[in-house]
Amino acid sequence: MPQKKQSRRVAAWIYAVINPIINSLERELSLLDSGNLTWRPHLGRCEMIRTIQEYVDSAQWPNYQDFLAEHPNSVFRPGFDQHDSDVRTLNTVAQELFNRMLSWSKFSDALDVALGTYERQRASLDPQFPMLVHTAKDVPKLAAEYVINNAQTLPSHYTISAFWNLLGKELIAFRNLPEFQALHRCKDRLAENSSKLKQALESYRLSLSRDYDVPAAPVPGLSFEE
Amino acid sequence: MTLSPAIFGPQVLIFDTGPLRELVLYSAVHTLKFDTLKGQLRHLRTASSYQRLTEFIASFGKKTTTPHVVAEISSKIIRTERKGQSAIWGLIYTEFSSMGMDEGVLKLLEMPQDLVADIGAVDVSVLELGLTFRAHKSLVISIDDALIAECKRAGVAAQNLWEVIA
Repeated sequence: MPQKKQSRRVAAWIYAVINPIINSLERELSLLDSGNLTWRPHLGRCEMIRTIQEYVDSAQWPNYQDFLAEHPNSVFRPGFDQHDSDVRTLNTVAQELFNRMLSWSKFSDALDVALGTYERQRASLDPQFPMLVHTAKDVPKLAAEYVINNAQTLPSHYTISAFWNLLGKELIAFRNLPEFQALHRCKDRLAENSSKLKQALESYRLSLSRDYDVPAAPVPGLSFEE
Repeated sequence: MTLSPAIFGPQVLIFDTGPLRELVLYSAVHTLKFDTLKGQLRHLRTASSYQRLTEFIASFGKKTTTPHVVAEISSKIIRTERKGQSAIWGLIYTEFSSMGMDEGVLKLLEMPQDLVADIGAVDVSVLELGLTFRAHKSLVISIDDALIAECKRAGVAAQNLWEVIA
C-alpha cells in the first residue's frame, strides 16, 4: 500500500527533521527572550542560534533535503530562508557592535570607572575577589560580550564574576542606548519569525500525524511494520 | 586566629572528568535549555548545589585539567546528545575560557605503565598533574573514589564532588 510506504517516510520527516527543528526553535526563542544571544567574539557568531539545517543532525540531512524537495511551494522553504537570513544579520550586527564597543570611549570610560570602583572595594568586600589589573586587556572584550548577551549575572567560577556581579549592571545599562537599537530590532525580528515558523511546523506535524497515522514522537515498541 | 582557606588552603584545583562534565551539563540544561540532557545530571541537581560548586571553584587561583580528561568528557557528552555535538563543544570552549581553565600536557610514555594498566590513563594523568602541583598546594576534585584513594596514597589532596556540594 502506498499509504503504508509513505507513513514511514513521513515518520522520518517528523522525527528527524520537524521535531529537532521545533525543539531548537523553542530553545532559540527562550534564549532570545532572555536576551542571551550566545554571541561569541572568537566565533564571530551566535554559538547556539544557528541556521535551520544546523538544527538537524547531519546524519539526517538527506531526510531534510527530502522534506524540502517534497514541499517546494510550502511556507517552510521561504520560512527557513528568512530565519537563516535573520540569523546572519544578527551575527553581523552583533559583530559590528562588539567592534564599536571596543573603540567606544564612552564604554571604555564607564568600564574604567567600574574597574576602579571594584579594585577599591575588592579587599574590603571579600579577600577571595581576584585583582583584575593583570587581566585588564581581556576585560573589555569580556565586558562587551556580556553586555551584548545581556549577562545579568555570571557563575561564581568565571574569572570576572566578582566584578561583573557587583558592577556589571552599570555596563548592561548601555543596552538602553540608541547604539543597541539595531541589535534589539534584529533579535526581535528573528524571534517573531522563529515563533511563526515553529507554529507552522507544529501545525503541519499535527496534520501529518492525522493524515498518515504517525505519532508526533516515537513510541517505544510501536512499529510501522505490520 | 583562624587562617582563611582562600589564602592558606590549596591554590590549584585539578579537575577530573566527573565534576567538569557536571558543570558543562548544568550550563547546557539551565542556561542553554538542552532539556534532553537533564536526566544525565547525576550530582548538580539543584541551583544551590551548582552555586556551592562554583563558589568552591572560584576560591582557587588556578584551575587546570589534562587533555585526557577533556577527551573523556567530549566522548561522553557526544554519545549522549549526538545532534548537539557542535553546540556542546561550543559550551566546553566557553566554560573553559570563562573560568580561565589551564591544561597540563602529560605524555603517555611518561606515565607509569603499571599504574596506567591498573587505573587507566585518564586517572593517572590527573594524579600525575596533582604530583606536579603538590608544592603549590593542589587539590584534585573527582567523583571517582578509586582515584581519590590513589591520590591520597600518593600524598595528593583529593576531594569528592559530594563533599563540596552537600
